Parts: sequence; C-alpha cells; structure tokens
Amino acid sequence: MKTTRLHLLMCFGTGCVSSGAEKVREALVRELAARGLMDKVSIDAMDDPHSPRETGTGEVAVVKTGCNGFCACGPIMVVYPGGYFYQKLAPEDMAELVEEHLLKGRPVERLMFRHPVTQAVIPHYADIPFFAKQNLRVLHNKGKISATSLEEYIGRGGYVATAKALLEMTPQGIIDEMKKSGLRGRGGAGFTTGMKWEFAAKPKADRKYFLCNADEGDPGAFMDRSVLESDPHAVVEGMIIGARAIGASQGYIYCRAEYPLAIERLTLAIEQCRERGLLGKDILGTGFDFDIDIARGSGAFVCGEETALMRSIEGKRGEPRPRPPFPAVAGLWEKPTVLNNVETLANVPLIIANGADWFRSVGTPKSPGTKIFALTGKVNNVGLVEVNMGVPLGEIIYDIGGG
Amino acid sequence: MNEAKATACACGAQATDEQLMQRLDEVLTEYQGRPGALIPVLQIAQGIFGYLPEHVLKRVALRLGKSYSEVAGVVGFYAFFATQPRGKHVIRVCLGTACYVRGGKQVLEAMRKELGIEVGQTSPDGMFTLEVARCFGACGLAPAMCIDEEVYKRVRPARIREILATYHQDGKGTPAGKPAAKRPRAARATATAKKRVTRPTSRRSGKKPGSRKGVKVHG
Ligand SMILES: Cc1cc2nc3c(=O)[nH]c(=O)nc-3n(C[C@H](O)[C@H](O)[C@H](O)COP(=O)(O)O)c2cc1C
Ligand code: SF4
Ligand code: FES
Repeated sequence: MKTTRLHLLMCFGTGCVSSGAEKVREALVRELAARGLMDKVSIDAMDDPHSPRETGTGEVAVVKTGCNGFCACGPIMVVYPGGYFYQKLAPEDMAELVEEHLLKGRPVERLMFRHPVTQAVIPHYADIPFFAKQNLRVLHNKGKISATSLEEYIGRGGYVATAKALLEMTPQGIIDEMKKSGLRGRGGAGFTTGMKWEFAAKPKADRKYFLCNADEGDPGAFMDRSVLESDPHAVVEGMIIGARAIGASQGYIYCRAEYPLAIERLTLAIEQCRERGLLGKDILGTGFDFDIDIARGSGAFVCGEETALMRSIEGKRGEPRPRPPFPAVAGLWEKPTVLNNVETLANVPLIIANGADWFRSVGTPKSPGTKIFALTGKVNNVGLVEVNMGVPLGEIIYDIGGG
Repeated sequence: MNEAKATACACGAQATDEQLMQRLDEVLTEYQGRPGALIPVLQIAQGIFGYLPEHVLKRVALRLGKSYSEVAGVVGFYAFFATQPRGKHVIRVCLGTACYVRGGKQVLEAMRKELGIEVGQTSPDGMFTLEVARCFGACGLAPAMCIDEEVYKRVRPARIREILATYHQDGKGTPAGKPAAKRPRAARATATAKKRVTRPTSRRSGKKPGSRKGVKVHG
C-alpha cells in the first residue's frame, strides 16, 4: 500500500487551463525532476486515465481536478495536508514552491490569497471567505478528486446511491423519495423532478429515454460546465437512478460543442462505467439495462429548450414544437422521455444516498436544497458558488463575491 | 473541437478528394442504421473535408436514406456547419447576451467593415472566415471573440485592424497548410497588439473594488 505524503491538487478546469495551468504543471514536473524526486511522484496522467496512479512510489501525488469555482484566481493549486491554497501561479513560481514548501515544509506566503480589503494573507482553502460561506453539496467533490478517476469518485461515496436504488428500492420507491425531497429542476422551469419522473414512469412503452440537458445556453453561466468538468460521474449516476425509476433503457447527454473538456470527461466516465458494469446490460446483476451516449451540439441557439433538444438528437432541425403531447408521453422518437438539467441530476445521488429529510434540511420549504450560482462582471471574486436556496443575493455578492 | 483537429493534418500533404470520400464512406458504413446518425456524421464529414460541399451532402443523404433537402435543411439550421470552404483563420464574435449589451454588435460591425464580408463568408484572400458564436463561457470580460483557439477579451472596435494585422504578419512566416492554432508561442508573444487585448490586467495586480453595478449572478 502506498502512503502519499503530499497531494498537489491542480485545477484543470477550462478557466485555469486558459490562464496557463498546463505550463505551470510542466514547470512543476521539471522542478521535481531537477531535484531527483520523480521516482517518488505519481502523476495523474490524463493521457493514460486507466492507470492514473501507477508511476513512482506515490509519495507525492500530482492530481488534475475540475474547476474549483474560483477561476478569477487561476491557475490554482491546493496542497494537502493543510489545504494550502496557491493562486495565480506562474511557471517561474514552481522552483520556490517545490524547494520551500515541498522540501523544507515552509509554505510560500507570496503565492497565497490575500483578503481583498485587509490584504491579510489567508493560507488555507477553508478560511477564504469565498469558500467558507458556501455549502458544498452538489460541488462536494470539486477540486477534491481527480476528475478522471472512477476510483476516487467511489472513494468519496460515489455509486452508493446507485447500488441502493437498484438493489434496495423499487422504481416507485425512488420516485416517492424524490417527490418527498421536493427537488425542483435547476434548468429554469423549476418543475418538481419526482413528479416529472412519475409522469414518464406511468405509460407503458417498448422503449423510454432519459436525457440530460448540458446545453447551458445562458451567457455568463457556467455552473453546469463546472459540474461536468469536475464531477462527471455525479451526472452519470443521477441518470442511472432516473432511468431505473422510469424504466428507460437508453440515455443521451446533449452537450454543447463549446465545452470540449466536459465532453472529454463525460466520454471517459461513461467508458469507465461500462467497464465496471455500471452501464450496459444487467447493471450490478439486477437485470436492469441502461446505456448512455453523448450528443454533441452544433451551435444552434434554441436547442436548450426540451422539444428542440429532442429533435436535434433525432438528427433533425432543432425547432421547438408545441405541447401537448408532453415528452413524458411522447418525447424522443415519440417515446416517453425525461429531460433533466445537469445540476438537477447531480443532486439525485445525494438525495438517494442521504435521504429526502437530509436534503430538505437546508433551503426553503418550497425550494429545498442548494443552488449553484456563477458570479461574473464587477465582483472581486469571479467564480462559482453553491449556497442554500433562499440566501439573499446581497449576501452572495458581498460575502462570497467580495463586493 | 474534434472537427478542427481532424482537418489540422500536420503532415501538410493534401489528400485527394477521392481519398476523403473513401474515409467518408467508412464513417457512413459505421453509422448506417443508427438512430440519430445524421448530425454526428455531418460533424465528422466537416472534420474530413473542412466544410460540407454539395457532393458530400448528396452522398450522406444517399447512404443514410434521406432526401437531399432534408440533409441540406439540417445543415442550414446549425451554425457550426459550413457549406463554403473556410478561411485560414476562423473569427467568431460572441453575441451572447452579456457580450451583446457590452458592444459585441459593434465589434461584429467593425469586423464586417474591415473584412468587407458578411457573417458566414470568407475574405477574398482566403485568410478569414467571419462567424458569430454564442457564449463560450470566457466569463465576465465582455465583449469577447475567438480567432481560431485564441480568446480575445474586452475587444474594442478600434483595435480590430491591429489584431487582424498580426495574423497577416504571422501568415507570411507560416508555411502553407500549417494549422493556424499551432503557431509557435514566440510568434504570439511578439504580437504586441494582441498582448494588449488578451491581457488586460497584469498578473497579481491589486484587485480594484468594483462598483455594484454590473455584478451578475447567474443560476
Ligand atoms: C429557450 C430555452 C432555452 C433553454 N435552455 C436550457 C439550458 O441551456 N439548459 C437547461 O438545463 N435547460 C434549458 N431550458 C429548460 C429546458 O427546456 C428544460 O425545462 C430543462 O432542461 C428541464 O430540466 P430540469 O427539470 O432538471 O430543470 C431552456 C428552455 C427554453 C425555453
Ligand atoms: S460569458 Fe463570455 S462569451 Fe459568454 S456572453 Fe459573456 S463574455 Fe461573451
Ligand atoms: S477553472 Fe480553475 S477555478 Fe475554475
């Protein structure tokens, strides 16, 4: 068994990659090699995702995570133990970081976050107001696990909900729990997810479909992108559970082509699930068959709307069509279909694993749970935050966004 | 994006149309009979040919058992599909809401004037194709545009000539057929005009307290 002394979690979300994370990582590896440390290092190689941790003795692990949500401060690295938060890193900073922090145990203040008003150095991730005020539920894995590792997702409680839903619960039991949770769709319309599933579960049909809306059309919004990049398995798991509830055998994730990294990570997550029997025929030996394909968007404005999205998956012009019939009765290829948003689906495993009461313990009675927001424009801390439903907007902007 | 990668063949040798059609046929054989195959096939075809000429659409229609007009209708609907050869560099101006209200429209207008072409067209010298994009999530710094894979933030119409000039200069040094996105780093760094627009704030600059107006919360 390997003992990893140091974890270097590097953000490899779209924001940090565009601000130079790749170069910083190259410099880090170069500095580690220059000090003869490479035989101690295990590198999370995205190029070889099937054996991400097999190099070196693993005393130091360099891990690529998804978006931390604090893109304005990228490139970002968090060092454990301690949870030291390094920000706005440049390749030139790596020599000092390796020498001082990794070898001599002296964290480098110069590269840490400063309070926007008092200018005081805040070394630890958890103490930065941007993170401290949030309630991370859907985003509990962001920046904490390798976004390309099924093992790490499982290590943090992943697929427990799938096992519970498939082995211990009936489809109606799943629907009842979802209805009790009161989860409302996060894609805009705010329809109760449990009800939507129940409508699609009722009709008898030879085929049903379960779809995920990852078209994220709102300018300036990148909540869904962040979830897909940092925790793709959460979305896949939500779909498996939903498909079981309504009796769907095929799923599609409709993802906009402007999100190539999200598509890459979803593709990998789906492959990993097929290898492990979490997708495909006879999932977990229960006789339940379900598989997922990705449909890549082609740059049309209205495809986020549910009927247009279904036309587009069918290979037609993505034009909305009048309802009724509702998709729960006649959706994709005129079969009963459910479409849920990315964030909605990422809530599902949490509800099934922890129960509806846990879910309802935060938020408001009518809108329980948490919500992810993207802050852009003139705030100090541009980025992504998850707070309890009902938290006033002002609090988000001042306390988390830094005014 | 995948199609861009597929066209950016690094060897420089041009495959003949016949060879390309052969590759298309292989793809069609793989996808034939799959439900919803049309759009993925068109995406791959555009990657192979760089655009979607009529004879390609006809072959796709024939092999997937659809009418030509249905295929053409789908191609016409989606912004990513091009029926004309595209320029060496593809310019995409963001007209997402945030960019639109902060001057995206003026950027597009200036671009049309400067190049003398409409959206979807390619300049006569084959250098630039002009397109509009939805939000590409390079948040906050509107108006934004992309040239190939390089993102430009806070673009001002007055800067456009300067930005385009850097591509003309680079163009001379780049051997034909070399993918634009793979221009060497050094060439980019010397393009001072570009530096000014892509790096509006220096690293570790002190954070200015922003005004309350203009704060956006999405979700
Ligand atoms: C014009 C239009 C655009 C939409 N765009 C999106 C989108 O980008 N992402 C999304 O999840 N839902 C979008 N929706 C809502 C979807 O139609 C649908 O209600 C939603 O995906 C259902 O998921 P939910 O119940 O989990 O919220 C859009 C709706 C309309 C009318
Ligand atoms: S988020 Fe970026 S790309 Fe999208 S509209 Fe705003 S500036 Fe344009
Ligand atoms: S991409 Fe690194 S914090 Fe968002």
